[in-house]
Amino acid sequence: MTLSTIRNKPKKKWIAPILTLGAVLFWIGIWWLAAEQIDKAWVLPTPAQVFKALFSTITVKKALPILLSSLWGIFKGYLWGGGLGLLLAALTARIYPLHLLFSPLLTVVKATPIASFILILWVFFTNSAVPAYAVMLIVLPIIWANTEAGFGNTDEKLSEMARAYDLSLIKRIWYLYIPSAYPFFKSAAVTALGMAWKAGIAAEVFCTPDGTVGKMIAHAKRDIETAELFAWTILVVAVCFLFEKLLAALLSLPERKGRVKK
Amino acid sequence: MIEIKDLKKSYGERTVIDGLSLRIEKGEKVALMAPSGCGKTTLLRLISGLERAEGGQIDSEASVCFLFQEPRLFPQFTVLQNVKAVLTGKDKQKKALAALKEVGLEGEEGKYPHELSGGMAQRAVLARALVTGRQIFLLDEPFKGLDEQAKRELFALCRKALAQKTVLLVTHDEEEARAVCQRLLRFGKGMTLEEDLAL
Repeated sequence: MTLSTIRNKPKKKWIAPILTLGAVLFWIGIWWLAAEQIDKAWVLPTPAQVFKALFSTITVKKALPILLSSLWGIFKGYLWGGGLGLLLAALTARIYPLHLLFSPLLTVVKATPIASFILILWVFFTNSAVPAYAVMLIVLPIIWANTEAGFGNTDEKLSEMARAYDLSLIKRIWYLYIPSAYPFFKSAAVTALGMAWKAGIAAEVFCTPDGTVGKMIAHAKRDIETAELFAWTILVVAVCFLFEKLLAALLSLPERKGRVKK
Repeated sequence: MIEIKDLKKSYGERTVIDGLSLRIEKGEKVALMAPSGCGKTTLLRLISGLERAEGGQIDSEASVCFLFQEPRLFPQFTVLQNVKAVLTGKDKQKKALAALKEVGLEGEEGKYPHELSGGMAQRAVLARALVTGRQIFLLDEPFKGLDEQAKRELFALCRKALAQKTVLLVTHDEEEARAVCQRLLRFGKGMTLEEDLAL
């Protein structure tokens, strides 16, 4: 059972969405007031100006193919980073010298600012390839560290039982290691997705590869089209939120079937 | 048959088993009783190969099956999947279902370990052990924590299902020993044999 530490949390479930909507409207109101006060659209546009720009971005500027192009680059990097992170976690959890070998490298990768990454990668790769590599380097250590911790969380008693029954490595992976690592992998995968979006779009803003959201954001900033800048940002946040929810729901499927720990 | 000669095991400075020799005949059911911390479980772990002895020899004619104090079922898998996990080759489903039927868990195959009572979980464990076809069963206080009714049902089940097997039962309870075994060995410190009783 999880106990909430938040006071005055509503007991009726239907109240929560209404309160959330109220909170969103409150902050939009604050934004509106601030924009009216400043009265300079190039500094802070009003919500109405931003939503108008958002509509025009979607309809006139054909946001969908641009979003898909960015999504593809981020997706490639995410898959490579996730895959390599999983593989490394499986190896380093089992072979301690490998853990010792990779730990410093991944600690450095984790601590390096994303901007430095992007600029270093840009030395070696073309501007269209940098976002995917940047995403990969952001995702890899998150997946690696968490999944390795999950493998390390394997129940000793079950592990001993598996030994007593001479279970093969494949069976041990299926019955023992995957279920114990899965909750760690799941939370890491969702966290890494948010980070992947941030890193991917940041890399696009730096490198401005053609037909990407990052390039549109960079150009909106260059042309002092602040409303458009906000519109693209809202689109990115919305897509990121949608994909995070989608991934979380997808990764929760095995839990609902009881296959892995909740 | 299990033959143990001059077995020695210590953990650091502490000697747990000091030169134990023992012979268990094929099909014999032997209860091992000793005060806590004397090395009963260690002896089972040595016989099963989960731990290595510092000296002595253990010879067994057949492969052994260890039933731990706790059920140790894979919590994310159903009872049927848990039983199938220890099987290899063909007809896994058929063999697992037959074993579950034998222990009275027919119709419970789809349940997860957390949905089982203590007695049912131990039955599932017994099914998992039986399905391996191993001949020597090492039982480490499998009745601990069960209520009287569940215990009695499990006693009856063990007598029936393990009739042809060689059994070593670690217990603190003489009633359990009498219910399942024909021979009782009492040990003292260092697993020195103090009493060898026919039950």
